[in-house]
Amino acid sequence: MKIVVPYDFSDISAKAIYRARNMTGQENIWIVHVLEPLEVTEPGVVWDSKETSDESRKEHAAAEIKKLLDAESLDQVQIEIRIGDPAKEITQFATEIGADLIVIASQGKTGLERILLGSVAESVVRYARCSVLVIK
Amino acid sequence: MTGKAALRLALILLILPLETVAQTTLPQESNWMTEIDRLVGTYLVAPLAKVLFFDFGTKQWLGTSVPFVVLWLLAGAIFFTIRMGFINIRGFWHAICVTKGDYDDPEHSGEVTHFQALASALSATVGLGNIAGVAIAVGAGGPGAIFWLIVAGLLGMSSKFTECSLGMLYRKVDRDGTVSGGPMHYLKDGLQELGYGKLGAFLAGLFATLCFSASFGGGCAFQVVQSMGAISQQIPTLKQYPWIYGLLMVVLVGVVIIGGIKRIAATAEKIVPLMCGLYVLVSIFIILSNISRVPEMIFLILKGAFTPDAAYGGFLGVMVIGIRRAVFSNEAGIGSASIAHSAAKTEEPISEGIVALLEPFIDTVVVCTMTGLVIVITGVYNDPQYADLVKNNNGAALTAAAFRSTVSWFPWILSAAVFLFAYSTMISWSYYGERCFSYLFGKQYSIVYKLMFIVAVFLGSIVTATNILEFSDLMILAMSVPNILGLVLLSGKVRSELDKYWQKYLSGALELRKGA
Repeated sequence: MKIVVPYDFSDISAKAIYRARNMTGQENIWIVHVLEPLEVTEPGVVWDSKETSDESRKEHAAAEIKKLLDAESLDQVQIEIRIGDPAKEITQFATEIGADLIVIASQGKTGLERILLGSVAESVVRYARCSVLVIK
Repeated sequence: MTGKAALRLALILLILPLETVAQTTLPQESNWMTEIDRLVGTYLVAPLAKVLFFDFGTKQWLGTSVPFVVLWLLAGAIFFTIRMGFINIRGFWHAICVTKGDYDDPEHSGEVTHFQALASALSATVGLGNIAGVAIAVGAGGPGAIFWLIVAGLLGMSSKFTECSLGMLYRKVDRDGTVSGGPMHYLKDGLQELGYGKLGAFLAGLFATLCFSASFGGGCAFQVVQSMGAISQQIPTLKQYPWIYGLLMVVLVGVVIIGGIKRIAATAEKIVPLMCGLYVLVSIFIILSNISRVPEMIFLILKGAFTPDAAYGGFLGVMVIGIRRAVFSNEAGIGSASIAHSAAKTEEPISEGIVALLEPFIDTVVVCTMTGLVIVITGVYNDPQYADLVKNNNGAALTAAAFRSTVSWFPWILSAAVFLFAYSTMISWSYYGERCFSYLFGKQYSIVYKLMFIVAVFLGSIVTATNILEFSDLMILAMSVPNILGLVLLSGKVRSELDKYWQKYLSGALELRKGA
């Protein structure tokens, strides 16, 4: 069973990784981390610096995640870094690799933010083509 | 109520008047523009001015009103100059070497070179403040204002050094390797280190709130109204239909900050240093073509600085005007520039502070002074023909008149410079504002900020210059309240870091780039 686990460095999203680990072998888990696009007005983008390029940002983020995974002996888990709207990128990636399940943590937003935006988890549930397990 | 909730409430109260303005529509009325202007004046500018320009009754006992915020900025600049051992003078040559790239190393963390960071920060500071603001200063304070403008520029170099060093010391390297910094970070984390966690968090929130609000004024509406003032001297149709200019700017700014079109923003920012050079050259040409009047000009400036006409508000009045316009232009003590400087690639935080001290020098001591000299030497500031421009604070139009008096087509060069400076300043300030807004509300709401910024661009074309000037002044100068307080508290840390760095520099332990 192929499982996609969105990860944003929060404790609860780490919990989602362990949940997935209990369901399938490490090599069938894909961790996806979505970076926000940078503002075009940011100095690094204006001056086309290497550090603000998509490749560099993805490389750095992947290295950070790899370090954490290795520490937990999850060295066979695969890492995918995307840039853009989180819910869209997560569901698109799951479709691309033909995932059977997405295990996602719910951040539990409250009040105004919940009404205005909803959560990434909500959008993933709505748009995913496969099953979604929401961890609370 | 939690700190964050309190901040939001304060913010809503602050923005509410602006929204009321935006919602007020008086269709078919030819005076809907004056109505909007009146609302801005009554509900936004007047109440804020009461607090910030509170003068402790100095009007009664000194004869001239000395606003609290001006005193605060001046005291801060003098304090940092002394506390940092006259870094504005002893660091000057080293600043040029660092900017040239003598110490650059591509392996260092950060995003851009020292030169690029300086150019980005300059694109935000070199704006209509340099062209219109200075003309307003001379119009209201006479030639003597130029002297105080230069003094404020020189002292401001130390404030800028302090805030940009701190920006680097407390910048954050994100997980994707990009960096971010600015007053909201050094106020929060720096003061936390000193054991003033709550104060730090409060000042950081206050700064961020003021900064994004200021981006709507000095970083936006002021640029629109003043650049329009200069350009409409060449294209008179704009005087009748100012909203055409507003819409043009809305589109040009919108495609970049909302549309995400990178190339336009990048091109505009990169041309700024060149345009600066061209502006200075044209100004020097105007001064040289009036060379016989140079001694008289110098006399007027010095005499005006210490014994001005009573009409200009006396000695203190002229000083206050000079300092206000200098700070408005170079943003020293305001904190904003450290947001841009924090992107520099270096392992030595102090070195970026050193680079930053060139900014008030270029912006104020060079560019602003050029405008001032041109205005004085051509005599437009006290020519009855232009009295209306002076009275209505149409500073850029006054500078255009000074340019025209020498060569008839010079105002076209000025118009191009003014347009570019206005545009690049808006783009850069929208970045400062967006950073601060995201700091308060989270990145996901930055679109709300961007839409408000676009509204401010348009309002800039229809609200009168005087109201916009007042609002812009208020917000930008107010940023200095939390910023300078934090800088003073953290000045010990900067000084000890500076001493360590300077030791390294003097002993030759700083690594030079190969071939430098």
